[in-house]
Amino acid sequence: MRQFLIKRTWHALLTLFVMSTVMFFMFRLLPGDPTATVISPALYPKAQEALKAQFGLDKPLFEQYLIYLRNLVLLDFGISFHTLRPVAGEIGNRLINTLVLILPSMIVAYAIGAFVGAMVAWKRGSKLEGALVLIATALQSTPVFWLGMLAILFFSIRLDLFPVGHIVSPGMFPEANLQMYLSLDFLHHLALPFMVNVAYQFCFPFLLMRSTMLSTIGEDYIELARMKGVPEKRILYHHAMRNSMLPLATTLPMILGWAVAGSVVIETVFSWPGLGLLMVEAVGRSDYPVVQAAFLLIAVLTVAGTLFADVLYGILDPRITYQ
Amino acid sequence: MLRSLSKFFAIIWQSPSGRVSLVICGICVGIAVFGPLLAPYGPTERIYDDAGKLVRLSPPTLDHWLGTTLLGRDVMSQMLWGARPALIIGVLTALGTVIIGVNIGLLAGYLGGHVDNFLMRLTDIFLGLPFLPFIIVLLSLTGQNIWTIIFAMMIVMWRSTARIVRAEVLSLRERQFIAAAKTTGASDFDIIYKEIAPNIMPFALVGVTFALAWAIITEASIGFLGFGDPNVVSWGTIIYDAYASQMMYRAPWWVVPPGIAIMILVTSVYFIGRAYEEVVNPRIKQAG
Amino acid sequence: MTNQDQKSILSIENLDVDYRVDRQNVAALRDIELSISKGARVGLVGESGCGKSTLLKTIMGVLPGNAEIRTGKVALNGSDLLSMDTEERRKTRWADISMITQSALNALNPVHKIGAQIVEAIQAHSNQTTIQARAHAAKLFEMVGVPPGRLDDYPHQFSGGMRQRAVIAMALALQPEVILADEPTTALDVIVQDQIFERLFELQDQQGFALVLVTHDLALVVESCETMVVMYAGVIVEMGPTHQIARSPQHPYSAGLRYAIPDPTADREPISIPGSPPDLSVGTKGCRFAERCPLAIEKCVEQSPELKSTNNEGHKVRCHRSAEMPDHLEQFQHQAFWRNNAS
Ligand SMILES: Nc1ncnc2c1ncn2[C@@H]1O[C@H](COP(=O)(O)OP(=O)(O)OP(=O)(O)O)[C@@H](O)[C@H]1O
Ligand SMILES: [Mg+2]
Repeated sequence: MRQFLIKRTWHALLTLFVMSTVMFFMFRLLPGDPTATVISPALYPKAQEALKAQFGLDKPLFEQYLIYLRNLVLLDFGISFHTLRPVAGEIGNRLINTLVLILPSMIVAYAIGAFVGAMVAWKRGSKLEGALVLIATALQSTPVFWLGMLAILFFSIRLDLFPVGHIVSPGMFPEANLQMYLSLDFLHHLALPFMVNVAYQFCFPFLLMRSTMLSTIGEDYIELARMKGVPEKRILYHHAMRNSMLPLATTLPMILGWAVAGSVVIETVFSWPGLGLLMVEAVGRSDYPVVQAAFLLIAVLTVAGTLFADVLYGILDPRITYQ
Repeated sequence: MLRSLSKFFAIIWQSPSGRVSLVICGICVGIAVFGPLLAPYGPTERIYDDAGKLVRLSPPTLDHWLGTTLLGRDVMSQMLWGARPALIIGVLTALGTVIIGVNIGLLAGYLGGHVDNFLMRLTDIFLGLPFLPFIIVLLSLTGQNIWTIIFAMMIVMWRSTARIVRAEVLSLRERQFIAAAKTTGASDFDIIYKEIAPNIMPFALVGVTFALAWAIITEASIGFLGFGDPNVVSWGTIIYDAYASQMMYRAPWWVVPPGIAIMILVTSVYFIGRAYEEVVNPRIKQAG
Repeated sequence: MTNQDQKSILSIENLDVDYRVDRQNVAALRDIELSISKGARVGLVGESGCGKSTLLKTIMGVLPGNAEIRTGKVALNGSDLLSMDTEERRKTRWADISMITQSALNALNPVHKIGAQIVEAIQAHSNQTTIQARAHAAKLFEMVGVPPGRLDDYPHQFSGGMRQRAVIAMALALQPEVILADEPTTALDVIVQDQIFERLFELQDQQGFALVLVTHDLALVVESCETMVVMYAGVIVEMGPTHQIARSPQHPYSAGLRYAIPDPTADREPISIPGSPPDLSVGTKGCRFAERCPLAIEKCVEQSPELKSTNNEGHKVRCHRSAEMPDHLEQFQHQAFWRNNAS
């Protein structure tokens, strides 16, 4: 087990290393010049030089790369081209904002999706099953930002139940702090994006759980459990659902990855000041230290999700041997 | 190749949901091909009334079935024009994705050893890559047009096909007919592409449908985030325009149709994939 | 009531079971009459697809959703299992009848420890604590010859033979009166098969349960079961004392099976029955074996035979021409007779 963990962690780190390297060279070698917006070509060459030196852009590429790597390890993401303040300071809150939106809604969506999927499969052939499969597929086929817009249109504009976006009412909390995250105002703002994300993320676990359950129900060990006189409820939970969770666990990293990556979209619709929105804004302003930092943090979340799912799978399936 | 395709359609036609989905997809393809001919206006044409005033944000009327936009454009015409880029981008991305994925899966699964190790590590890295953020960064650097969008999506999407195909090749590799081909001295290339690849076709076709669904949605998301091709009107960019104008909540007729079109098209693509998958291989699970 | 009926523990009357496949019905079991005495060892044989597993599943009450019991009675100790409500039925399972399934690998849940799966069976029918149930499971493991230390292993950590033993231990857990064994040793090598049967028969002698053994190994049945039942295409074609059927089968199909086993003492080649089992679609008439039967006549095609008692005690056969069988036994031992006369 320990070796398995070490190996997987090592893979995760390797993945992150490769990604940050790719990021670095992408920004410097691809055609667009991200520094163009900050360092106006109209400036005197001298002034341009000075600015470049300030951001460390005057050194040879490889040296820049080493500095970049060192800084990453030190969690020093450089200075924002836009605000001219250290990126690290700006990004912490954004990370929390993303997590408070994405994590709880994922957990809820997964729990509901898996449970409902298992139930309709267990009582297979019901009208409800057909309807839910259609609805889930349609939801899965819907761009989530559009779903968000419809939700705003209906719940916020028509019914006036929820605010139209943002994380708290303007001016309420000048500083993001624990008090803010515990306030009713925050929850009020959270409700709509939360529900939209749950509705969207519900589909995949629902559909997957249903189809896995349908094949699990035909397994010999379910028949044996029934022959043993095990009560139906226990067969459902202890055998059928328990075993059907395995494929769900294997796909979890992918889903977590999508969810975090999808935060870009949902945060944009709801003007939710998380990492995703930050990244979109920063790309728009060519603020590449911020883009890099936001991207890498999102990547860390995705990779951590993969790692977590691997370990979970190992725990759920005793047939996995940790070599 | 052609045979597997006609078999593909025959299989889907057998299931009622597959049949309905095929018809819907057919209609969408029809719109993509003939839509611009049917559209009463150009996609970016501004419409003035008799008094010479711009027809802004008109709700649906007999003249403008789906109303007009803030800039006085006919939503119905935009919808008809917008199917083409959505489908072109979707289909090309799906094909490219599957071609890359199948080849990497074949090589990794068949050659094994270091090659497999390397390719799977690579796949893992791509699996850890945040999907949309990466595409956005890439597009912001390469510029935004149809080709860079297709390219950016392909780079990230091949990963799941590669995994599925590799797993299948690993089990095929042990089968008798492969061993037989080996003893007759067939080259690795022949074995991979003449013996194994045909057996992978069903997986590739399932992969194409799911990649297609995913690509259409992603294209819309890219458009919505403002990274679409600025010169092309697609269903995604219609939503973006509505959103960016800040008028969307006053003009539901502007935002609702493109979303519904995407939903219906992608839903039917999913059902096609599933109808096929159920018959060909009940084991494999959908994955993006 | 005759003496034999009183000893009977499991009796099946007039049982018909169909499978629905694409809106068509398949007649999987027809007119099954069977009575198993206390402590008996009954061998159930017949070609693949003749309905042996379907019969056992009907008895256990685990037919798949597309199966339909059309008529019939399955009585255990005189009470009809088929008319019980779900909870009553659940209680009789395993406690009164248990089953050793065809594939031990698939029958054990891969994600639970084997010991826990035995404990589960025990606790489904008693108030034993987990510790008591585990102690009991350990004893069962000893009985079947698996070290009790391995109760905490997962199924994949067991060899095929050990898994099969574990399933047998599970079947014994509640000391049922009847154990059904559906090809319990397919997929195992011959030596392990022998060991397992030896142990199973020993346990039967100790505990006195009745054993219904489904197998393709006719030699094993002849050697070790006092009663045998021959099924063909969903019906019982012959049943009775094994030694009688082995010596002088009264149904052509039994004869075919009988002479299909190599006999080192006799100087002949084993035969094989040409053709394949018939279509089981509902509504066919006549004897189901007629098209492969060397003795088939017009009547066989027209009219289905009844299961009739022969002159011998407890021996029944379903054949219009069974009376003539003794005259043809010699011919049945030659492949040529089968090939030339099958219609
Ligand atoms: N779930 C099912 N649905 C439809 N038909 C079935 C089903 N299960 C079995 N059958 C059919 O019923 C008949 C009897 O099958 P059964 O499994 O009882 O045979 P068997 O004698 O146990 O064969 P084997 O020796 O191969 O185990 C076969 O024709 C089979 O095709
Ligand atoms: Mg069977």
